[in-house]
Amino acid sequence: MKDSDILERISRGDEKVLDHLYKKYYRMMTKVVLSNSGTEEEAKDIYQETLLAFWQKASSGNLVLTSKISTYLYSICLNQWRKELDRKSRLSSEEVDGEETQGHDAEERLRIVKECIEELGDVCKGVLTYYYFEGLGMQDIAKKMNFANTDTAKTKKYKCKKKLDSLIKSKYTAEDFF
Amino acid sequence: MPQENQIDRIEHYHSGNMSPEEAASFEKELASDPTLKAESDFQSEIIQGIKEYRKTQLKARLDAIDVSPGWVEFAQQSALVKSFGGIAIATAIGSGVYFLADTKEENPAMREMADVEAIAEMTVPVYEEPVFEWAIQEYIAPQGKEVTKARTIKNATVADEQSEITPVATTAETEAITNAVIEEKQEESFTPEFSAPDAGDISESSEVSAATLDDVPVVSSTESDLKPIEVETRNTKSSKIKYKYYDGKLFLNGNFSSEPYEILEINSATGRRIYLLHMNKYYEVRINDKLSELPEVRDVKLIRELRLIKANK
Repeated sequence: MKDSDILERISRGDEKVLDHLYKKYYRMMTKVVLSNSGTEEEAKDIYQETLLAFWQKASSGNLVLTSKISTYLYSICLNQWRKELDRKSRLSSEEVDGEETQGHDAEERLRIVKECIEELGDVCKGVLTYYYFEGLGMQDIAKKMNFANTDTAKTKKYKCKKKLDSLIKSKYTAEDFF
Repeated sequence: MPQENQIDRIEHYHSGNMSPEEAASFEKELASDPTLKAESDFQSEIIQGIKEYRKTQLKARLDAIDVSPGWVEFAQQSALVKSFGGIAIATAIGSGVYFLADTKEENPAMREMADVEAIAEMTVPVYEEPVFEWAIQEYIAPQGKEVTKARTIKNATVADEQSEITPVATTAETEAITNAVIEEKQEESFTPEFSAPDAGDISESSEVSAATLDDVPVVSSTESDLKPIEVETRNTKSSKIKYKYYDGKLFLNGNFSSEPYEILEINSATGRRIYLLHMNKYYEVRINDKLSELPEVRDVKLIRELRLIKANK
C-alpha cells in the first residue's frame, strides 16, 4: 500500500489502516527504544503513542508529510523516547512531593470524565470521539455514523456534549471538585 | 449555566483554531473573569478526557494485534534459528540411525525408546543477530542397564558443537516416557539444574500415567516431533499466558520476568504431549496457530501425574 493510499484511507477513518501500519512498522519502531535501554513494554507504549498521534493528525487533515510515513514515525518515536528518558532522569533527581496532590486531583477528575463517557451510548461516544480526537468535520462524522446529513451530526454532537457536561458536573459536585 | 456561544468560544480556543489576536484577547478575558476561567478549565478537562478515552479505545485495538514475527522474518533475523535448524536436522538423522540400528538388536516387544534432553539458556533474540555460545556436558544416570543420558547445553559455540548434538536414547523395559525440560529466560544468564529421570520409577508408576495421560489429546505423534521444540518468548505485564504452537515451534507471551517457565515434553507410544509449568500452575500446549490464552490444566489427577514426572525428571 502506498503512503498516499494510507493517508487517504486514514482521512476516511478506516481503522484497518491503523492495524496495518502498527504491524508493519512494529519491529522497526520498537527497536528505537529497545536499543536505547528501554524495555519491551516501554517500546510498545512509545510506538503506540506515536502512531496514535500520527493517526490523529492525519485524520484531522492537519498533517503535511514531507517524508515517508516510516521516516516520520521513526523520528517521532526517537523524540518521544528522548523526552521520556529526560522525564525519568528529572523524576529521579527532583523532589516532587508538592506536585503530588495536584497531580492526584487531576488524575481523579480525568477518571471521572472517562467514567461519564463510558455511561454514554455508542452513538454519543462515536460522535464525541470522532469530533474531539480525530478532529473529523460534521460531514465525515455523518458519513461514519450513517446519519442522514450534517445537521443530524451537529445536533447529535450538541446533545451528547451537553449530556456529558451535566453528567460530569454532577459527579464533580458530588466529589467536591467544584 | 454558561451560554452556548461561550462554550463554543472556549472549545474554539482549546482546539487551537483561534487566530493569535483572538487568542490573546480571549486570554485577557480569562485573566479577568474567574467564572469564564473555571468554565474554560472544565471544558479543557472534558476535551482531554474524551481524547484519552479514544486513545484507550485505540490502544486496546492495537494490543489485540499479533505482532510476533512470522517464521520467515524470524528465521531471517535469528542466527539461533539457523543453528537450531541444523541441530534439529542432526538430531532427526541421529535418531533415525539409532532407531534403525537398535531395532535389530532389541526385543521387538520394546515399544519405544525414551530420549531425555535438557536444553537450557536459550535466549531467543528477535531483533538482532545474536552471538550464542554453548557447551555440552553429559550426565549419565546411575541406573545400570537402564541408561539415561541427559545433556545440558550451555555456553560454547554453536557452530563448533553442532555435530555433537545427536540424541541419546534411553532404554526402558516398559512403556517409556520422555521428559524433556526446556527452561528459558530472557536477558539473564540462567543455568538450570537438571537431573535425569529415573526411568525405573516412572515405569513403576506407569499405570497412573497410562490411565490419565493417554486420555489427553496428543499434540502430534510423527517421527519429526522427536526433535526438541523451539520456543520464542515475549515478556508482557499480563498475568495471562498467550501462545501459538505449530510445526514444533512455540511462541509464548507472558510475564516471565520474575519466574521462568518450564516445559514438560512427554513422548510416549501414543505421541508427544507438551505442558508448561509457570508459577506452580500447569498449562497444556496444543496445536494452535492463532495467538490465544494458554489453557490451564484443571484435572487434579493429571496435575498429580505431571508433578510426579517433574519430580522424577
